Amino acid sequence: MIPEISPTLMTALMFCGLLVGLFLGHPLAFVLGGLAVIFGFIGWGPACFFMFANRIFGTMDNYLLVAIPLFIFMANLLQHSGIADKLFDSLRYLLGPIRGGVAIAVVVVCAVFAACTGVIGASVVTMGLLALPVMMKYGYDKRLSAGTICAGGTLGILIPPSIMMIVMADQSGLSTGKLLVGGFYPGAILSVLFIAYIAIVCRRKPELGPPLSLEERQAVPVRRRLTMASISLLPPSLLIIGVLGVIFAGIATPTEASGVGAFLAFLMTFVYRRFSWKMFREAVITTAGTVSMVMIILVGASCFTGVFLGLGGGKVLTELILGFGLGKWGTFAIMMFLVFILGCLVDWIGIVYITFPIFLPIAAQLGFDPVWFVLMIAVNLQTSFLTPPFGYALFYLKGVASHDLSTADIYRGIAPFVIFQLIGFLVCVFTPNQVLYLPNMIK
Amino acid sequence: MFNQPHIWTYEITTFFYAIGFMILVAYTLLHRGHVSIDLFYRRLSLRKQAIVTVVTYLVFFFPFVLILTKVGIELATASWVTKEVTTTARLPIVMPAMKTIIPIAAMLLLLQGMSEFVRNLFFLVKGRDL
Repeated sequence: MIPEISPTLMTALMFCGLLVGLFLGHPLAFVLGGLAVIFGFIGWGPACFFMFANRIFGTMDNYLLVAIPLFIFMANLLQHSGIADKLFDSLRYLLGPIRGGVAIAVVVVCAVFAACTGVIGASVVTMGLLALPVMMKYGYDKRLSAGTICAGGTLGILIPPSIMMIVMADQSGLSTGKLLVGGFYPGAILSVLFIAYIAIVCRRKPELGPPLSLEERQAVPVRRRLTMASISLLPPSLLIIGVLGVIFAGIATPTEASGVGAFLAFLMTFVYRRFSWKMFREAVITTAGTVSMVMIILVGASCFTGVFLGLGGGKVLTELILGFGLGKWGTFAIMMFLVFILGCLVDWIGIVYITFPIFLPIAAQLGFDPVWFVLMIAVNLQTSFLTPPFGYALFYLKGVASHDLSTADIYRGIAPFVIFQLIGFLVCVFTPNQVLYLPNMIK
Repeated sequence: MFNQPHIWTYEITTFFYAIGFMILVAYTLLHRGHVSIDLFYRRLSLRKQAIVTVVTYLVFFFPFVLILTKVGIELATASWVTKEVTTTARLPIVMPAMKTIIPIAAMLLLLQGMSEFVRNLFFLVKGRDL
């Protein structure tokens, strides 16, 4: 028999294994699953393998998680519906005369789109295809453009609906409605910060984001621009009322609302005359790919966490974190720092699965409000979509952008936005009452 | 409508959702849809990429998927034999049927993984694409 390995060593080895596997380019889901098998076998013996089957079954037999494929499908339909095209066009004319106006329009469209969808992929892909060529045409700095699209796109998963909040609710046992509605305030703060950053940087260096030319401004009178913008805001508003309205009014569960949303998005494709079987087929296939990618990470992560906690990794990490003896806020800072660092390497699902069972009891022990604490992790995880090497927004933008936008351009472009996300995070830390205002209205 | 859910709609929805994502995992592997960090992988020579793929498949992928197939079969068999039902008034075959998805999905995934593995091994040995 193999000599007894201390839980501390085991924890360290599991994290090393995770890093090695990831940097070798193996898919995250299978690195997590493979490590679960290896360490489960070493530390526990073959008996632990039944836990995997049960954990997978737990992911399958979960009515709350049914909302995930439906929300993803809804986002893909909306992406093809052209709902964002009209909105972006009208806002571009409305905000165009300001320096950096097109970039600001991107953030606004992303925020509205975020309130319609619960993922980041749809926003980043839509804006990458739609706004990036326009920004290039107007002579916008390509780094600023890339950063704006990626950062704006990440709002999609913070502003409700949000598949991240659904997974968090499932893992923390907190009310899904409270967490969803709690995303509004941080989402608004981040949107405002992004817009402020763009406005300031373009005021200082107009060459980064020049205003629309005079001819183009005269082509469309201001009055028409306003009506155009109002008309194009109507369909998304209906969608937002249809989905979020029914959740917050307590009429339907998030899962039911996601079904309503997918159906409304389906209707929108008719309203915008974009429906075709080819488009529908494409939306179904993209959804299938994204859903299975997300769900298999859930499966791998839940096996990994099962073994990790079973081998005493949770206790090791808890002792490590509390061992610094930094008091309430110091401990909070350490936990948030760990989430941020993990955010560079692992995707949000893995982080939620690994950290929630360890951090939530610590937070409860320190007397933090659980809803507030989970929302802080959610805001913190916004950076995980942007921070390389593992940032979804970067993958998505690279996938749709033309070749003259290099990875280095995207990395440099997102850097200031990550800083502003952290500022937004601090704002939320220091205004707990405002963060909890909306969640507390839900019974 | 929302306030009067039938328990069977709930079960059927969950059932289709479970079939959907489990069976599709192998399809996504075929299309390289699973996220990974290719920061270093991309910079390696084709030969080294093939070596890394072969090794990582042996270390991570196969143990995980093989174990899933094995325990999946055992779990599903037990469920069929005992005609498993739960207290929440499930339709008769839903439980065993859902558990059967696990080994099926795992086997499909195993096949797709083998295809990937063999392709890379062939490239490594023969120096050309299969």
